[in-house]
Amino acid sequence: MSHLDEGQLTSLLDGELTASARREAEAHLAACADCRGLYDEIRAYSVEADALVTGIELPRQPAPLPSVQPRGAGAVATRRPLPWRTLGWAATLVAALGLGYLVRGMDRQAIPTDVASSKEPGGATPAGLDSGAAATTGLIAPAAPTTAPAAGPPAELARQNTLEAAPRRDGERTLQAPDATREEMADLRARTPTPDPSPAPTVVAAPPIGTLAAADQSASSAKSGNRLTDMGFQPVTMERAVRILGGTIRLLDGLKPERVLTGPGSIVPGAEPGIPVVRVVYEDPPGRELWLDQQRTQAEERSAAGVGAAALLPGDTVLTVPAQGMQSVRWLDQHGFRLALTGFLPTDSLRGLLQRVR
Amino acid sequence: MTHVPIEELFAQFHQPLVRMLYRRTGDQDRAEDLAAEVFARALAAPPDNPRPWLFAVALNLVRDDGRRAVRQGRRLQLLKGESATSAGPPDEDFERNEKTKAVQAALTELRDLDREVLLLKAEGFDYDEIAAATGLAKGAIGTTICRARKRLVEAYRAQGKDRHVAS
Repeated sequence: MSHLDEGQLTSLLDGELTASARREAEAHLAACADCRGLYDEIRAYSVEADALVTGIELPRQPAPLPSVQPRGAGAVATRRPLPWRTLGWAATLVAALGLGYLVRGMDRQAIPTDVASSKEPGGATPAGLDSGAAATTGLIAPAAPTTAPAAGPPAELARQNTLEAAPRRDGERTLQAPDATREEMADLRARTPTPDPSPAPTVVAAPPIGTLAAADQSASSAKSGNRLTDMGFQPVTMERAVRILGGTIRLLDGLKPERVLTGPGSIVPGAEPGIPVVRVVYEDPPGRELWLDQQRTQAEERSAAGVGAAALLPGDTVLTVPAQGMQSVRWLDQHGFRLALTGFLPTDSLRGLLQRVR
Repeated sequence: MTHVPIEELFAQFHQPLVRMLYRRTGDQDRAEDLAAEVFARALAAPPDNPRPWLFAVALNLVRDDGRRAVRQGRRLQLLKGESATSAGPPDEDFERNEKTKAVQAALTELRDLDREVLLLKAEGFDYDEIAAATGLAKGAIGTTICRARKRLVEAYRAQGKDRHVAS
């Protein structure tokens, strides 16, 4: 057996290995002085770090909310002052959520079939998204970029459905590479199919993802050798992908890219049709594909209004359901990159992953 | 699927949530406000898997809160004066507060991800739950925790050295 790495040793220490893996690791430790040394070092750090964190105790008992105090507990001997600050927060949130539902109703009246109902399980907001607003957000299909007025009703509608907080921007990891030459960009554009020039409705029911006619297949089919991702895309090296994107690329921290592809923007919902899209493909824990699509917008498109193909403004995020079993979160980052994270993960997990985009 | 009533969620998770948020922010009032917001969200959209959900939302809120704080140019207080509510002798309080401040300062030096896995682990989360709350792959949790622990200890020790040099 090869040496144990620090992840395995920590898992062993934390009791997270399966019985067979644990037996194997323990047998190796018994025979390998190097690994034993590393294990002892990891254990020492573990004991000290855990003691430091758990040593921070609350200075006082947190005040319970009056509405969830147990009923029938008898008379309270001393009257506790109401936590007005806490109540204020709760009241504000309840009011905001109520308003969100009202707005949703208005949206549906205005455009009856555009916003499909998609109740989200849990509605967790690990990406800084407001869960109430997220619960009211359904499909927002790509709007026509060239015909959508900057401040017209479709843009406003999209704004109502977008969520306030942006994915984390700090610590963006960039891979440096020479800027893509204009010739290279022109070459890529030339190979990109020209979109239908007829004006598209600004908000329509979401099409299937790109040319993925079979995108409503289950996650298992995606794993069974039928690489949905690759249809319409071509594999590229990371360096070339970086050049296509103008010198930087966004990656998911903590996950290893399976492959990198590029394809025309016209086959990716929400993307600008004439500009290539880079797709970094990952695997989620069950082994299904997870895509991080990214597209560099042109400087001239990043106008003050910032209305692009999906009427997004920097900082907006939009949740869509591109196909059965899939979820997609799209946003426009502060540097003018259109990004989309799409996978078979539950909404909560997908939003959590947004935090890892660097 | 039936959801756990909010009262039960509150009874079970309110204190751990406030504690975790206090460890993260160093401000109990802020921690309680954020926890209230988490439960308000849980009330609006009851989660299927409440524990990771609640803590993930809490961590997200505190992260956003920190960003807002930076934008507004205000500083988060590392430790609010709590001496009025402390029961121990002043010397013990002082020592404990100093240590708490140092640990919180060391935590502040970590990356968000490192800090979050440590805080979740300290609340008894197993790797599956940490993966669910952070979006990390389960296979990456061991390595992340290992490095986060080491970074925390080193940052804390460095604080001690700084204190000694300063004094």
